[in-house]
Amino acid sequence: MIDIGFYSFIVSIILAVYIVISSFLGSKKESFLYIETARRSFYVICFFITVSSFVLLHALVTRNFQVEYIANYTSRTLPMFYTVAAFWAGQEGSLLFWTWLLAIGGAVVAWNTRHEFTKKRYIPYTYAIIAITDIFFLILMIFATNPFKLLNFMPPDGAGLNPLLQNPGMTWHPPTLFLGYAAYTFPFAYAAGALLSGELDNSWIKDIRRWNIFAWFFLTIGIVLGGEWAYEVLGWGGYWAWDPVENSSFIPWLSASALLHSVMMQERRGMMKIWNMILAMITFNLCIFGTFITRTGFISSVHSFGQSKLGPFFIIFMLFVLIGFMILVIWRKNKLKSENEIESFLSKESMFLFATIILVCICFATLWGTAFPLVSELIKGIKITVGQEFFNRVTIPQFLLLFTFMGICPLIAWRKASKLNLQKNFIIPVILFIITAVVLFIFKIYLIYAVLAFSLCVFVLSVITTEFYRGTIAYASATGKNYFSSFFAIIKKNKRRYGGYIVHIGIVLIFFGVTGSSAFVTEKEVPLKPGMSEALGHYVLRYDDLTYENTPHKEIVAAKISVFKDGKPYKILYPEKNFYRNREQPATEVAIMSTITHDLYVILGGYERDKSASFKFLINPLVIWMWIGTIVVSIGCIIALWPDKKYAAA
Amino acid sequence: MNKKIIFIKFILLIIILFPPAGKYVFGGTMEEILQQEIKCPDHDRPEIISTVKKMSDEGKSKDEILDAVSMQFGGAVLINPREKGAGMAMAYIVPVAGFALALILISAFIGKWIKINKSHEESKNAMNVQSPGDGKDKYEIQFEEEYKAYKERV
Repeated sequence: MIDIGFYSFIVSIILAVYIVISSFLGSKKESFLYIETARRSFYVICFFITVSSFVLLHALVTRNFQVEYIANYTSRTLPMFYTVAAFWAGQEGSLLFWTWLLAIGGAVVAWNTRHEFTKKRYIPYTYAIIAITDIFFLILMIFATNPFKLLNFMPPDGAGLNPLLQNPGMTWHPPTLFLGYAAYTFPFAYAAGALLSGELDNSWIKDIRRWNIFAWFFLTIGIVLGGEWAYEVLGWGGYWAWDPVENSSFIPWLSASALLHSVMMQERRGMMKIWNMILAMITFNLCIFGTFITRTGFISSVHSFGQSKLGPFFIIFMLFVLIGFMILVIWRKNKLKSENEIESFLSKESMFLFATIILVCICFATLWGTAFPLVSELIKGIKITVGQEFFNRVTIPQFLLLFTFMGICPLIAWRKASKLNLQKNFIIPVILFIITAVVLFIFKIYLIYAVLAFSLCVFVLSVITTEFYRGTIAYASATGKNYFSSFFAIIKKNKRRYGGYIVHIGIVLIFFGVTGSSAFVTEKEVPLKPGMSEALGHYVLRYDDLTYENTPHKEIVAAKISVFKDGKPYKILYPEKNFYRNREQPATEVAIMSTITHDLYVILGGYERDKSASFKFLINPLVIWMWIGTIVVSIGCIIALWPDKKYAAA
Repeated sequence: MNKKIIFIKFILLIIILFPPAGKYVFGGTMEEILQQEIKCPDHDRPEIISTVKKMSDEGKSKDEILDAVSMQFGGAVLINPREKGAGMAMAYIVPVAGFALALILISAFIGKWIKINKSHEESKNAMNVQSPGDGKDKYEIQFEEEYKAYKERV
């Protein structure tokens, strides 16, 4: 049974090589037969990788500990939910998962292009690029990190899943992130296909539109779920620590955001063609880089679960992509010339350009900080690691500037904005910006970054509201419909545009939450004995008792904390320490009480036999707005992705 | 009482009252470091934990332990990495300078594009107008020519 999984890889890699050869041959000889067989091979690859995945899932569910991967990541007492999630908990499984998503995506591309590959010359080359990526991952699994590797003996039990991974956030975080990563293969494949074919009009840009939004959406969700997991499980009170692994998902998100906006310039004005090509390649390569960091431990990080031999494979592939793609860009540079020039600094084009440049600069700064231990080791021989301080200092000003452009871009005119246009569109948002800043100063908030951030949130929100307001009024007066139905009608009529605005509202809410929770945290660390209380903000927290509970899977030590607000009992919280079987160290389970304005966050530090215990109490303001913002972002993405009637019918 | 005995008693008293930091369970060195200074203190990295425990038991100070952990496992395991030295200056200079340079370059490029666009516009205008300064565009001129020809025919 296990062998089937491995042999499926062999069949898949042979098919992927066939796709590459027959796509190129088909394009050269203009033989549709070659191309059609290559296209259909994607379905077969998808089938075989699905078989491999189900073989691994079967081994997980039946707890076949003779498979090394199963023995390393599961145990007999591990709940079934987490046993299935162990599929992507380790290096081998997660790479198989990546490949599976890639194979499914390849099959979707093959299906979507079933009527198009005869009309668009870049489609066969796109097939070849997707197949090359398939080959890379299959080589990894066949030669370096086989998920079906068997042990010489059958262990009585497995080592069990890392306690930190036994959290609902962690079960959804890797799949969503990998989905985002894998989906960015397709914009890259289309870009490279267009370069190879020389068909460099806007057609490929239109083809990647949905992939781009889809991949960005899942990358965003994956990053936020990772943050939520860190917030609930890691127990240091925060959700983002600029850890190399966190950064490795954030870096491609930044370049992906730049690509998402930059392609609009090409669609509308035929500009920034080289820039879009490069962004598509960088984003894909950074997704590979993210997988590389997480799975190889190349840059020292507590999250690098595997220190493995995959490094050279990844480096060679990333260099191949980078160098090969740049050669293609240089080769085709004459065909990538802009059809129009920017006419004024005060235009949507130049504002878009600035915004994408800032995104790329933040991307570079984060990449630089993440890779700095390696750079410093190479140059000075000492591994110097930069911390949160560095990332905050470098990126916060850039984020504030980016937010300013985020407010300006929707309202400024294409080509050239007149004075009247600027006055008409920006007078109210600017006034609201100033009023917010003044009000915050009056309420004694003197942190300049926080004041700017909150004021910019108001500025951007007012700009977006203006857009919705004007659209609704115009539609209502043109059609005679009421404002309510006009509001929904404009969204329905232009899903991409208004979906995008809703995404921006979500980003503003996330920014609002991030600002509040980073700038205004209140915390206290106290040793307490049962019956003792501690005041924090508006709350009094009384430590009542320490309880012990034994389950087959773990031993739970929970502290009972009664929360009082204004002298009245308000809530009871149970921060825990969990001692998992087969694991020496305990896992912290924090207790969180979320309200619309703040989170009360309680960590049980340690305890003694007489039940005295140490606690860390935090009030993290506005955290919930990050999760609300993510929901809003999701809604916006779904609207933007929703097919039009015409499109669905076609 | 012998001064020596008094001194020994005094030392013993200090030891009893102020045991080595590593022996503290709550808020003490080991627990404190694992909880407050190291990311994912419960993470499955037994070597970090055993290093901290060993050094804590040896009575090493928090700074000594953190330096050792940082050296051995890389600064990324620390919540607040120890940012020191000239190396940090390089860390800051590159992204900040890169950002400034990118903005300057883009502004320069946009300026150049605007100029090119203006010159295109001007050359288009020049092509459209037969004799500069007469204020007539090509349609007006064409109209006048056709009208003149019509009149001559009539």
